[in-house]
Amino acid sequence: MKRIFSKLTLIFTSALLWESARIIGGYSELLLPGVSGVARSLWMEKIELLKNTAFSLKLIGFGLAVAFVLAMILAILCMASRAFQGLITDVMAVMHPLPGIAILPVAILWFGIGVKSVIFVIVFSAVWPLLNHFYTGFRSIPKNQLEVGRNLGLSGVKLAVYVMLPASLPHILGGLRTGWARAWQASVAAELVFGAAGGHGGLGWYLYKKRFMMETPGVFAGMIVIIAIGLLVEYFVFSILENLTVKKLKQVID
Amino acid sequence: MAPFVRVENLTKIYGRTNEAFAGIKEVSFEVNEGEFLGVIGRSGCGKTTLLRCIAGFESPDGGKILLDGKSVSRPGPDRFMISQGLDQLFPWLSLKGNIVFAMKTVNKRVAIKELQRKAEYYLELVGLSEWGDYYPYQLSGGMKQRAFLARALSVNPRVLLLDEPFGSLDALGRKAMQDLLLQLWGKTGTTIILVTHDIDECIRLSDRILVFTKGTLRHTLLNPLTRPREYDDLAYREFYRKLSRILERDKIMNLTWADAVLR
Repeated sequence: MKRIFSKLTLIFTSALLWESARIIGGYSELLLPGVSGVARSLWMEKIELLKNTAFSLKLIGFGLAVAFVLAMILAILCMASRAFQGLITDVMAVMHPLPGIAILPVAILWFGIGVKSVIFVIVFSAVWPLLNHFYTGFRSIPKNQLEVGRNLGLSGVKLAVYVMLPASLPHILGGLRTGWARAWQASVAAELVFGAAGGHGGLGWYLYKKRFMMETPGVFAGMIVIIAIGLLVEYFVFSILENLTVKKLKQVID
Repeated sequence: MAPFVRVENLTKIYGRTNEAFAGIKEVSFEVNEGEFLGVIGRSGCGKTTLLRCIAGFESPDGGKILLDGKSVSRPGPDRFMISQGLDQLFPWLSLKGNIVFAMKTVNKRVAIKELQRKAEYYLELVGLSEWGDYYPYQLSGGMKQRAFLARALSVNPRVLLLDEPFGSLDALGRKAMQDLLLQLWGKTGTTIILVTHDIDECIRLSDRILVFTKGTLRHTLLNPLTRPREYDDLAYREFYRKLSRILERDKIMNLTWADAVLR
């Protein structure tokens, strides 16, 4: 309750500062729209915003799922083979710092303008941080726990599913957090830079249209939706998952 | 009767052949069914390596290990090992969950209800009945070690391998755990191989004692004492002196790795 209250205070204070800055500075609606203007924009365009949000979430969900599976396979292969691990570490060192958006031109060349390219960029952006976290997680599993698993007769895939996955859950969750953020950034950036094909687009496309039309309140509305979704996912997905799982992994007494 | 566990010319050397730094060299011995065997030696003498080879965690460079006449090489629940360290329970499962998971993995066909009932039995055996729903991070070190024993027994191993199982306990806790272990051994009749560097522990628990020095099996002693064994018995003190003299002498001989392992 206390936490919710402090969050509300924060939101209220920022709105207040925002509004007073606008009034004191005397900026026009085009440069810095007021809270009320943005709220109106949010309300008027709620259907379109919802549609665009759903579209974005669909793309990100799909891209993140693909990246998750891919990163998991690569991380397991890294654990299995030293040579592969060396190779992947090098590839990761090169690819990880490369912004996903930077490969969009190539993606468009390969997959054309449209959903496929955006998904490719999302997968590319999310897979490296995911892999990095998964691999770190696997390596930090206590040797004793792996050996108990082997002692019980587990090996290969079964050892991975029953021991390695749950043991590295904190790292997997951390990876998902980063991956989720990277996927959002990638999807919004891709649409913002290159638009969308066939009239279907996500929140990036929404921002792009509003910017194009100089509807600044709409741009702010789009940003607020993006922030709100980030907060919702953090508090209703990651935090709950963490409470259910990770807290038990903490070895308080040792 | 054929020996239950038979170790033949077991060799395992870490490091390159010309600069070995640890391991065991051509170790051979036998263990009878239901016997409590103690293995003692200074740290680095290869006793943990021996246990890890029997458990199947290390692949030997030479020799073989037979369990009931069959050669074993991979890890399996028939040789369950309790290692050093307190991080052996899965932290994402409750205490009872840990035991049920172990039994379920080894014996897939038994119903969960039945396994839970059995888990409760094993928890009661080690005096942790009331802690089944707690998670590992909520347990003290001594409780964890009891839990390791409960889990190990729950999978019904043919040989129980113990690597300094009570090393992290204080003297009182250690004695209590030794008594518990003896009591459980009496109930289950499991064959036990215990590795320790504690002379008292070795004497109190084992039927027979193997003394290791720098990777080789130097002496085999039969424990002449009847149970229960008390520290202040005259015979106990005498046997203690004998064993510690042997360990002292081996130290004075100051064998180096090259001497002992690579003659």
